[in-house]
Amino acid sequence: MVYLMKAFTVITLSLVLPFWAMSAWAHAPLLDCYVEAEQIKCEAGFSDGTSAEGRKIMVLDAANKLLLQGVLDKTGTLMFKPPAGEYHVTFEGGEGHSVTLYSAQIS
Amino acid sequence: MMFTVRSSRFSVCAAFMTVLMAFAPSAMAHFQMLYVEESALERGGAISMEMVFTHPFSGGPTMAMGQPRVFHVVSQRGDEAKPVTTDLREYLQPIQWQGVGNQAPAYQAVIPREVMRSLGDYVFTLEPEPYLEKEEDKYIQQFTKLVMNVGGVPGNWHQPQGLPAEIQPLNKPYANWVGGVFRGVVLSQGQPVPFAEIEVEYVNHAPDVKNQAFAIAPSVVAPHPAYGNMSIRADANGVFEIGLPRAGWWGVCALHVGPVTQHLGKPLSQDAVLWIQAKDMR
Repeated sequence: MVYLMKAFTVITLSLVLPFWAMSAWAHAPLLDCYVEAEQIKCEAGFSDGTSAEGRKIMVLDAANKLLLQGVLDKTGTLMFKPPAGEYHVTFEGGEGHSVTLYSAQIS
Repeated sequence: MMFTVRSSRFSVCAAFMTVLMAFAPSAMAHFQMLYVEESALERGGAISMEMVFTHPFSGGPTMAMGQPRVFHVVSQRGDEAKPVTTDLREYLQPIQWQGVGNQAPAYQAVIPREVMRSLGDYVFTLEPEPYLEKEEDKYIQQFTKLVMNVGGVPGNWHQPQGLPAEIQPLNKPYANWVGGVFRGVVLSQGQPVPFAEIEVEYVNHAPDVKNQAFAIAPSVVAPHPAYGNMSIRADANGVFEIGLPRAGWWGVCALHVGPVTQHLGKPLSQDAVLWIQAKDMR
């Protein structure tokens, strides 16, 4: 039960603080996604200004099934068609640092 | 009886001096405001930006600002990205701003989401038409910068914008704790200005964007005229450093640093203004 509560807390926190919770790190990954021209446009970068070019973005459904994976271009951008149903986007910032944004937060 | 009359004259004189002392700084320190409520946005979106030519510590008198000649933003996401310049003049609309004691023509820009949606830094530059200061029979033109950020990814906040008169920030203008210090360099055509004359003012009457007015009541009361408009000098390298003792907006204005000194047959002062936002650590 305690374990479940911890898991719940972690999930809740990750929902509330999706993209800047780790900004206290010297080299924190940052991510934002929004709707543009009926596509989802994701932009990623780092808090020290380092480029995110070549880093991975993963789009997963509510059951954590990988829906698509892409590589950020030289502007740190990736565009894709919005999946049906709920999904979340994870930016792999390296060294175990990642940041996730949920579809409910993308508009 | 004589004593009473003298005493009364003295009281009138003292009261007059008090009023003069209270308003004397405002006669000196013009600041072109480029104002937003929040300069560090978590996520991008449409914003409203106000342009008011005033004396921010006293909340007035407010002047009729010159038509913006240049109003643009240079945005950049990350150190290596190419900066993108967007002309914003199409979003300008004239407004009337109610300062403390008077109302004056000002401008507002409603900048759409597509301009401000991406992560990164946004360096706004405003170059108004020179303003004729009739009291001093001279023109004032303030090259004004406001630096914003979306989402915490830095970019070009520290890059000079190639203005004739400019303050180059050495700290992020949008990320300052109260009690911290802010540093910058005064530039004239890109070159540091040794011992540049600088004025620093706190926006002491809270801007009310909805009603396009300053709050009547000040946030703080200056204990002496020298506290309202603080005059400092840059060092031999044109570098200055100020403390930020209170949350809100702080304006820094470097006087007479631009190369053009005449306009329509009268003296012209080309000044450089930069806006800094400070937040409480809590």
